[in-house]
Amino acid sequence: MDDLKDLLEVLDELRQSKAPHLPQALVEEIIRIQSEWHDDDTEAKRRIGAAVQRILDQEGAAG
Amino acid sequence: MLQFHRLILTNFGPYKDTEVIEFPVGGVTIVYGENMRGKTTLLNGFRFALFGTVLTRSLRPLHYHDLVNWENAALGNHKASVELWFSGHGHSYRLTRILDAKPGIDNPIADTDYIQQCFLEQDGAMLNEAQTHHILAVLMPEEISRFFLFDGELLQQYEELLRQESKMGQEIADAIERILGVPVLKKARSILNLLVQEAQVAEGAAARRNKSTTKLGTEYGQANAECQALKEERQRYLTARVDLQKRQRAAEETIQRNQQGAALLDEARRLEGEVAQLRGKLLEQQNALKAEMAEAWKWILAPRVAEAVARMRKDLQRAREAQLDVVYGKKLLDLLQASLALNECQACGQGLAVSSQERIALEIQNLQSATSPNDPTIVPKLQRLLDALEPFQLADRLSVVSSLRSQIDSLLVQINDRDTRIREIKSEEMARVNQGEILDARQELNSVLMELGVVEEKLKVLAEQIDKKEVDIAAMQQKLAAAAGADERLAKERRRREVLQSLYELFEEGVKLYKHRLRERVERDASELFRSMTSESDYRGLQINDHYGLTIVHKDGSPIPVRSSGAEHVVALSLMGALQRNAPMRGPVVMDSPFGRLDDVHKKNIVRALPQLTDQVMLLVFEAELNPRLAHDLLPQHLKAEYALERISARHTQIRKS
Repeated sequence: MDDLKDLLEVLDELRQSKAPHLPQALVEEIIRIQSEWHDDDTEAKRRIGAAVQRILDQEGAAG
Repeated sequence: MLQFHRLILTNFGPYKDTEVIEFPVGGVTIVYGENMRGKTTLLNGFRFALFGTVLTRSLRPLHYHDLVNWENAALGNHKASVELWFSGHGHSYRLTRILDAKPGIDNPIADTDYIQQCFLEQDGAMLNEAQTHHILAVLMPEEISRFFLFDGELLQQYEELLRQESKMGQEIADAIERILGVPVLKKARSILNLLVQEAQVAEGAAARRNKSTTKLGTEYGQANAECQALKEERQRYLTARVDLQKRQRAAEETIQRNQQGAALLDEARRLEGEVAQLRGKLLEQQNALKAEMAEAWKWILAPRVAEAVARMRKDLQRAREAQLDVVYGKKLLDLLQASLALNECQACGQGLAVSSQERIALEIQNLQSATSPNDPTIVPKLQRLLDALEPFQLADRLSVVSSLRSQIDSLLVQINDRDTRIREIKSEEMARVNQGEILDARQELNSVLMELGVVEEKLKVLAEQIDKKEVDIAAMQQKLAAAAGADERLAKERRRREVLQSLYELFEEGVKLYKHRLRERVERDASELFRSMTSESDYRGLQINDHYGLTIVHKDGSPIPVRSSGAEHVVALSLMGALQRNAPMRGPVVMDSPFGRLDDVHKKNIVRALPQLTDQVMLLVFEAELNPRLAHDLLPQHLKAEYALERISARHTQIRKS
């Protein structure tokens, strides 16, 4: 993920100004998945979908 | 950060035995080798290990048959292998790629006669085929290999980035975005968009299950489906537009490539038109001359006729005068005879003296002899002859004929000049131009531009329809939120859709901002590298365009429109270095004979700047290109290892550590 530092900085800057309700960890997770599974769209989509669901489940659990 | 550690070549090109090169971590490694010793084969060793492909210096794929050592192949050994030891992403790797003749084939010729096998060990554990493919695609995608493994020919291609319509320029720009990590964002954005669509469908389905929102849920589902259909249609048109733009670029490049030929073709066409007109004029003049020449026989007689006419006119004059003399003589004779008979002058009535009578008698005698009657038919005859000959007294037609002749000659010269030029064009220049290709490309371009117009119009309409539909969907989402009440399932689906939508919008913005920032940084870093490498102090730096093309900027701010191939290499290397500094995928650079087009000052500047390009550089050169002593002087801290390619035979090279 160090290699994607610049990219993540840009996304974090945007997130803070436009969508602060989105967790940065989720954004980083999406980039990590996409970077790792860039040659397999199906797997990348499944994993990103699951990452989003995990965050929503945590939200739900937190009430 | 990728690092190469060791390259082992066996029976690969001129490396008949097993040859090993160790690469120190960081710094510059130089491999010296004269021409045809195997420098390009070393570059291909990396390519073969990583991608299973090999290229000639003109960047065409090399056949496997030419890759296996020829001496061993002649002895029936067709097995070649390359082993690359490297590290990256916190792991150590040993990559082995083997090429061999397929079982049962003793004399392999075609690529299909060979079998290729690839093995990758990660930290000592062998990976399966899918894992190998995945790891290699992550660590070093072939699409970006041009930034790590290159030669002078490849550097020359970067000028294409300045031609935004160029197909190759687009390919390089895509590769640049790839190395800079833009596709990670773009792909994530596309996947999030798909997930948003799925979430909308799920939200609609949840709404339909709730009695209070069934109708709204159905409408929402329909609106989403319609919007999705519109988006899919838009995607089809966008894809069609990309295809059309590719066709447009290809047609324009064909036309451009043949531009000189096309201009000559136009010239030939214009000349052919002129020749047709000139031939029309020539025919008119030839007909006029023919008409003149129909009377030409008369011209032969004309001088004689003129002489005869002049003589006859004189004769006629004389005949007429003679006739008058006879008439007057006769009258005088009658008068004198009457005077003598009457002895009295008939003019004055006086009597005649004897002497006068004698004189009159003598005169009568003279007159009788002089006025003998002449032929009365002479004058009419002469007049008839004159009347017949006078029409042959032609006006001066020779000057007319001469003028026609001159015009015809001039026309023939003009036609000949043009015919000669047309022949030249068709036999020499046009031989380099495929006329059919030009005509087809022009036809294709016209057709593509027409289709593009239709597609653009359709995309405009679709964009309006999608905007309207999205406004409707947003309104429905608000209504659903208000009407859902305590429906937990619907609330969950809505929340999922909202989060995904926010993520999609974040990534959408992220793509634009990241690309913008990258361009700024690449321009800044490339300018810095360029200033350190160029010998021209009047150059301020480089300016980047939307396609990552770099233009040299003078210190007065004006762009330098034309640059030499040497300058092109300096700019390309500046871009490489800037990309390495800003790319998520960083790695070693292997350069094959990159100084061919550079003067000594630029060469020295570039060698000094090599450690700034990336952490690990391998330079493949011949000694005349870079003297080893000079390399030591220029890279006192950074030159970590040197190798020499030693000739054993024309088909056998050994690698020796210096």
